Amino acid sequence: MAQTLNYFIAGYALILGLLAAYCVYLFLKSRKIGRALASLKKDSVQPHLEKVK
Amino acid sequence: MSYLSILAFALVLFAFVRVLFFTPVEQTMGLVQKVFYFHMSAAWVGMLAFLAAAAFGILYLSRRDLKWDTLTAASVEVGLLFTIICILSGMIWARPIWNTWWTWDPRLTTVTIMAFTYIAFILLRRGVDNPVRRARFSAVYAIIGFISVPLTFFSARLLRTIHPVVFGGGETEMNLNPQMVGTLFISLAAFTVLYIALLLQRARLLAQQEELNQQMAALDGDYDWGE
Repeated sequence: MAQTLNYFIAGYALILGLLAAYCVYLFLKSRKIGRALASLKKDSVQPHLEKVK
Repeated sequence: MSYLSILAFALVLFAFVRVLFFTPVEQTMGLVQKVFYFHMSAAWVGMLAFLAAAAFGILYLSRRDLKWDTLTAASVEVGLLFTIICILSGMIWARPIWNTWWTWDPRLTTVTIMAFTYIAFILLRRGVDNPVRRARFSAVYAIIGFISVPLTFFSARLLRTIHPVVFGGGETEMNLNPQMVGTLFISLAAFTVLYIALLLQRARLLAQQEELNQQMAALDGDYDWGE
């Protein structure tokens, strides 16, 4: 039997590493968009609050 | 995190544990053959994603609803991720077995063409600002680009190739025992659920990004939020 343990480890490290990296990318993007949307919402509510004051 | 994402994570973990501890080691190739289970699952999901992108493209052209465009773009991106995983893990598998990282075999050549076809999709799509034009372009591209998928699928069956065929390959078909087939189907199921989870997540983000872009454009058109 061929000794291919290193290639086996490298193969799964690559597969699982790329999947994990993409999940992290989606998480960071989601957080960035969420913050931007929240900031926009806050900015659009602020003028109305000032009018009420 | 949605229930689907948790299910996908659990299934991939289960498939990985099964690959590690409950699947026999192939006698000739040794441990590296175990890369095959996730390698083939990634290939399957990549092709499924491009098929889905073409179907979403047809739905967009027939219904003119931008949600189908969002799904087209998301499916291509996720499909490309899995195709790249398939190519790179295949290279690692090939090195000790074929004694080379890469060879211009018909299957390897066609899968590279397929990957570049969809890389071009993502790059070109970013160059179109108008959402309706971008959606129309993406739909047509996803439908025409899909030609590369059957080309890749049948290349190992119809042309002379050193790449093994798992099912229906005649002389080049791989010999898998029932345990190996079981692990393969579990991996395929896990990757399919993972694809659906990632597709929905990416589509939701693309829709939010579009909403953000529209709000920014309404306030001030000078902002650049990426994408």
